[in-house]
Amino acid sequence: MIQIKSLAKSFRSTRVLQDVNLTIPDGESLVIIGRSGCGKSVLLKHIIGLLKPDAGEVVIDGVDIVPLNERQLAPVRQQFGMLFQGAALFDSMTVAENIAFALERLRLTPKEVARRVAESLEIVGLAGTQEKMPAELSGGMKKRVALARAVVGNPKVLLFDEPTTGLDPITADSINNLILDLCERFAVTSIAVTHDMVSAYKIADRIAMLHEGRIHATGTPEEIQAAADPVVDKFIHGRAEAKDDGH
Amino acid sequence: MANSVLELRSVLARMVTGLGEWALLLAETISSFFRYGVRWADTIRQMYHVGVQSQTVTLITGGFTGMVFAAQTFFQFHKVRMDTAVGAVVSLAMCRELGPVLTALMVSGRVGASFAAELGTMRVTEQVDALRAMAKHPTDYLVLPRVAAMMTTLPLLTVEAIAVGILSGYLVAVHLLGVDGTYFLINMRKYTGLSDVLQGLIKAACFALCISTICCYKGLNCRSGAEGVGRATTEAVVVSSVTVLISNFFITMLLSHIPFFQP
Repeated sequence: MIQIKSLAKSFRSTRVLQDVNLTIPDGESLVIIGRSGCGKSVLLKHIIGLLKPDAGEVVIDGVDIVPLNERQLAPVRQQFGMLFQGAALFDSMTVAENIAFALERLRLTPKEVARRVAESLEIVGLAGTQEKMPAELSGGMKKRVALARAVVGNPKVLLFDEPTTGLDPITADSINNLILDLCERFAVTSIAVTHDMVSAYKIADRIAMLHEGRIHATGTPEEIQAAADPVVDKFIHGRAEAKDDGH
Repeated sequence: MANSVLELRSVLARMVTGLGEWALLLAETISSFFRYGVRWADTIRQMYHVGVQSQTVTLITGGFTGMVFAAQTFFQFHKVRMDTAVGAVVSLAMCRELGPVLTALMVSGRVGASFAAELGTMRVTEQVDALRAMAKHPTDYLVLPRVAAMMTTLPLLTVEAIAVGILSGYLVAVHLLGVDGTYFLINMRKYTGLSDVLQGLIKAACFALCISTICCYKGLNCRSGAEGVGRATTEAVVVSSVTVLISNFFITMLLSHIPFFQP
């Protein structure tokens, strides 16, 4: 179980998160929604310890990871797989090397590594692309490879940072299907941040809306769709007011 | 006035913070070396980048420095009929100062810049975060191979620059300016000893540590965007070059207190 307690984070004078409280039970697929720049990715990076909060706790299976240093965080991070917004593939490595890199700590034989790389690439529909370089791949293919890299180590928790951003609707839908399939196949806890409501409705068991540094509302996709709260309603239907137009 | 004081305080605070963070990275790198060892495949790849790909720069730097230094020394010494001392002056200067300092400056411009740009790009494209998310420490995977490669190859490049410098100085002095070749070599061997070469190597190793850790620090801490990477690269080259020049003085003074290195 992941618990986020009274989390606060500022960058210089900008307060991004203030008093965020959220509990994610094992096996749940949570989607965090919110406007661009509201701190969704910042929140996600706190869950895996990539950022240190100014205040608050991030408790993973009973252990508060905030006081842990980079080396102490390693065993915690080994339980996670993360898909970054821009895929974040290592551009000096081939597709196979990128995926195999996540398996390094398991000290497998080269044959076993090759088998698992091939298997994970098959799951994401990119069989046979082992020797390609990231620069040769399209945006959607990069995200698929990053997904393969995230799941190849059999993590307990999967984090997705804007998994469908910058993709066409069909590729985005295929990524959504892939996420659903992976979550079912590996029975993992998944946390995705997005402002793509189609994606959110499709992959979420529960949706949490981040607004002005706090969790403003939570509920199942149906509850969120039916919410009377004006902030939620405005966001999910994409309605801008005059002050949102920048005038 | 108040604004200037505040600005100065902020600049000083940034400098002290940067120095502290760099020292922590240095300590982490040394600790990583002793506790986890070097990743050989990455280190050898970096050694190729630092050593083999810096050959042209090293040969040109060493060669032309030796040539011009021999010529200038000859022009001055010729007035007092000390032409044959050119060999000794060129070899001493190349071993103790010109070889290590100029090679380090050239390598900081060529390799240090690429360290900062590469790591900076990795940071802004979240590749460093991806590495951390996979429970890998950036110091073990990104910094230590670069530092180890620089510390092994820069002393070798320095020896190469010294040798080429002396050889080209010999060619200019003997074949172009008419200095007696035998006296050039005798005086060179008489006044240049193991301690002079060792001094150059010690300096090269210290410069390698400074250049590699400063450039890695600047890359790993660069701000977002292309502008951030550009600025980090420029700062890396400027700071590491200035550090080479300043630390050169202090290393020279420090070694002068050790009897073995005294002239």
